[in-house]
Amino acid sequence: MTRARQRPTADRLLDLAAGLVSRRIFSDEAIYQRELERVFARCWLFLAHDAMIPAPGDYVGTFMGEDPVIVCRGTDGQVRALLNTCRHRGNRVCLFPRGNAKAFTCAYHGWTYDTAGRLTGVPFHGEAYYGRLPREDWGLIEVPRVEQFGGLWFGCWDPAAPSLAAYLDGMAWYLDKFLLPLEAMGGLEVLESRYQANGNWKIAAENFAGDHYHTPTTHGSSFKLGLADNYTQLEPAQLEHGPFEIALAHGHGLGGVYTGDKPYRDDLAVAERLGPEAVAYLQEWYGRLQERLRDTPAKPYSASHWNIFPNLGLVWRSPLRAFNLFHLQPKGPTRLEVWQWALMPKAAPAVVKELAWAQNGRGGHFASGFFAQDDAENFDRVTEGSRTLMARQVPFNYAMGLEYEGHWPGQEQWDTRGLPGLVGPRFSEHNQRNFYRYWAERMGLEEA
Amino acid sequence: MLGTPARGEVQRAVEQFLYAEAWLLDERRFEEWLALFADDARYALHVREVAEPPDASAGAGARLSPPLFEDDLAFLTLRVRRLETRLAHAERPPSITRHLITNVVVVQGDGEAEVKAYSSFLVFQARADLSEHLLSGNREDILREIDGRWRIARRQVALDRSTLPRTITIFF
Repeated sequence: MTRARQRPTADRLLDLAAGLVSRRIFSDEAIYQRELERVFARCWLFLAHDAMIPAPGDYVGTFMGEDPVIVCRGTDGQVRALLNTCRHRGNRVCLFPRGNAKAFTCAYHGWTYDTAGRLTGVPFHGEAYYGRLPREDWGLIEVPRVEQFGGLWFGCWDPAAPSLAAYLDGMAWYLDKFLLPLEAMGGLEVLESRYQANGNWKIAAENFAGDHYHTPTTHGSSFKLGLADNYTQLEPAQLEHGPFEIALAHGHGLGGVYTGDKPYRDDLAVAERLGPEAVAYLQEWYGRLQERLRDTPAKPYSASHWNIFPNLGLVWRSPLRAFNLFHLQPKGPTRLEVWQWALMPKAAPAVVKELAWAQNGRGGHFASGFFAQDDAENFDRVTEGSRTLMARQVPFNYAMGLEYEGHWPGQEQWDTRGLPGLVGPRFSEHNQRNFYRYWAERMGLEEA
Repeated sequence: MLGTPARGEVQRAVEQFLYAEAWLLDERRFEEWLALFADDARYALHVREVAEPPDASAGAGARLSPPLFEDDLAFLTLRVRRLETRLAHAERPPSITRHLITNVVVVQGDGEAEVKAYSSFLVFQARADLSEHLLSGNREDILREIDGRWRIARRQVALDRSTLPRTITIFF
């Protein structure tokens, strides 16, 4: 039996030195409101992928925290993020989740904004405002910082924030190695899947950041059915070449990282079954990867799960699979929408695309995929387990690997030379502790 | 119109087939349900995509998305096998479902032995005390008469949502 109350988190929400996190941070409304102000209004947030808005006038609607924004490529070619609310009475000026527009017109009184957010049309300006409304002061609110890395557009409300590249830090290194070679093969095409869940956004984000431990249990049905491949198949012992979980600055994390050429040889065997086009495609990507790894002695091949703090999860295992983005949209402390985009190089041969899309919708991470079903269900239940009176008084355990952090048994045998970040074994919660340490910092919370 | 209407008795037979199929699904008699598919069957599920400018030709005011998945009978069978592993957490406890099938229009298909059947559905899904959802949509089926019995040769499901209320863990 455990004592009902372990004190460290009763007055402090986190005690990461002891590996404890209060359940309240997953269900408390006041904490959630503070997150919107201190995390979502100040961190770089994912907006869209460049491939979603290729032409002038193209836009997608999204949310920064709970604020609706239009991410639009202006007729001048520049990408902006505009708060989707009319300056006059606040109605949404863009009602579609995506499209192409020359202007955004409010349905209430007809104020009209161009694709750069400038107020260009005010009905009866002469009669109603005597021609004196200073239209230049009443454009749509523009997100002050919008930058992109590798085709991923991010926005930030904090004008004083460091650059996106500085914010991504070590994560930029991994995106450069794994995402950019896919980009470089003639651009990406995008498929989408969206679903709602009763989970707290952080439960999903911390899972993407570094929860390899859940795979055998949560996704046990895939193992039982023989669907698990070389990347999800777990060997009994930690291997010299991974998989590794890597904690990065600013709360970012990734995992399922393999080094060495075995995953490549495994993929090559798959590609050979698909035909010479698939082999050529894989070889081209691999060549591009090796070029980028010229100065890295360990040769990482892929990373299966990532989280860019706060709420962009990524899943990707191989160039034969789609590169999946999971925009974890918070809708309250216990509500979440998962907006997922699956990216594949346009240049990938049809047989590879077919394999990748089938994987997403069947065994994988689209709303109909086995992995997504398993994860969403567990995230919902975890969140429910953080909400009720007696349950929320006892903390969650994030102590896995705590005393071995940085000096894990057997680590001298790992081939991780040149990999940025704190590299640990697959079963360890250092990535989650890293996530919450940065979360606490942004929240202005004291933690031990 | 949707095509040349099938003969009255074919219309009635197909309606009865679809109702009986829905009954099997709600009773979770999935082995018998799988037996209703032809060996070369395809089963695809789409959602709706809303975009500006709206596509005037699209149904329900929104065009079909690319399929979230398109299964052959082997993978559809694997979805059922998965439920039997007792590790399909999103179906533990199993959903209680009620498939209401309506607006059935049966038209002539390619050749004597095939018809095309359009139907709409409203599906109620309850997960013990965890959640409840209503899902509406339509189906376009190609049914084939094999040895005097109807079989589903192709099914295209379109859900009337672009953001789903939950991951998809049941059949339509």
